Amino acid sequence: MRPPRKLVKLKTCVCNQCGVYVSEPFPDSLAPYRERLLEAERLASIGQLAAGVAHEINNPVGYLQSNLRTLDEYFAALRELIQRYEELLNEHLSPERRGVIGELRSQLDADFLLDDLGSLLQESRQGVGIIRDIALALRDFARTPDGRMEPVALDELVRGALRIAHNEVKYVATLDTELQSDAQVVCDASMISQVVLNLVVNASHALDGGGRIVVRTSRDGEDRVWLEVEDDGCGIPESDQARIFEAFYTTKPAGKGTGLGLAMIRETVQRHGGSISVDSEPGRGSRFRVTLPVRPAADPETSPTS
Amino acid sequence: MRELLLVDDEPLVLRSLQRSFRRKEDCAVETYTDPEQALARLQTKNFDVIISDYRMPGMNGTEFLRAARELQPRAVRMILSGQADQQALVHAINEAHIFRFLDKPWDETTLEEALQAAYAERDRLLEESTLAGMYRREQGL
Repeated sequence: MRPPRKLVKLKTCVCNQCGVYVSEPFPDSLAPYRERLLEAERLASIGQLAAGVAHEINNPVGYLQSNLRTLDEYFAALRELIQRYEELLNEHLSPERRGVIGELRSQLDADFLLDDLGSLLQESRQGVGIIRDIALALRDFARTPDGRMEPVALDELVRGALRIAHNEVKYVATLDTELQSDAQVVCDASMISQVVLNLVVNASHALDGGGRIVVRTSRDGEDRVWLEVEDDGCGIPESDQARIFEAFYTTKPAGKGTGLGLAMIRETVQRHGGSISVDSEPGRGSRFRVTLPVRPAADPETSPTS
Repeated sequence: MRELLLVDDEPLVLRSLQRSFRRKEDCAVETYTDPEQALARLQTKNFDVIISDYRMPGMNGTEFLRAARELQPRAVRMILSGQADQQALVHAINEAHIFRFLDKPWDETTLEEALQAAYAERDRLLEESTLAGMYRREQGL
């Protein structure tokens, strides 16, 4: 990552001859914007890093998953073999020798081991499955938006974004979903995932010490869908509501927000020919609703490739 | 008996794939971590299916499979990779004429289906070349 640059205006040295440029101190009034630009740059490089990490994770996850499955089958075969041995031993061994085996068996806690091995493998496979889903979601998410508009199952897309948001949200909120759009939406999937993620993370910031976030999707007539992110957090004062979609407008403490989140969300949504609205009351919470056309208008003005 | 050639710079991926194939398939599997060595092997032995990683040091999957195609045009080629950007896909399809592009981490069922389809493709290619040979002989070409 590049070291933070000083955003300064340059002017020539006072001697006006040596050709050396000296820097002018950054005007105080612009300082907050500088902070936010740096923050935005930092987030962008973290995103790139995440995509690389996701690639690296895919290899080990691939063979872990496959190996655990193989292990499962090996174990089933060996268990059958052990059972057969036991039957034969019981038939042919003297009671005295059977006692020796029985003692070893209890010493090693063999009954428990054989019983637990199955769930051990099952639980491990479940864990690897979660890692796999996260890595895939991260990769899809970090994929550079290339302006490609493709039909995507909206509910699936939301689920993928929530998988990433989960970590950020799980300590402060319970996350519920009511995904009922059952619709294919032609959109730039990675951009719309960003929208969902940003709205959910925003909602979690509005919750101070616990609360509930609900994400809903639904059809809105024949050719539109909406998605909603609702929280029961602090809410937004009416005086701020008009400004929250402005770039660099933030009420969050420095370092917590760039002031770009909602501005970028609105930009993305509008490029898709959709709209965003907020319904909020201080103390009761906020509800953001994004409405999108199932197919964006053919108008090049609203196409992200333009 | 089907002959499979696997190339991936990660040995643990190769071992894992080898185990899966060993259990299910009536096939012999050879694995290489170095595409150059795999190409050398292709000069001495025929394979039915070749599966390669995409991102490898020295030579990427497309370069490897393009060279493999020149050596054995009727061996069915597939890429198994976690790196699926559009550019890579375009090159793999246009230059190496791959039959499938499979995602990592792979899913056993998808892999199995792809392999069965590759066998069918292999049989089709062989049959086609036999028929072409017969036709040429008939025509006295």
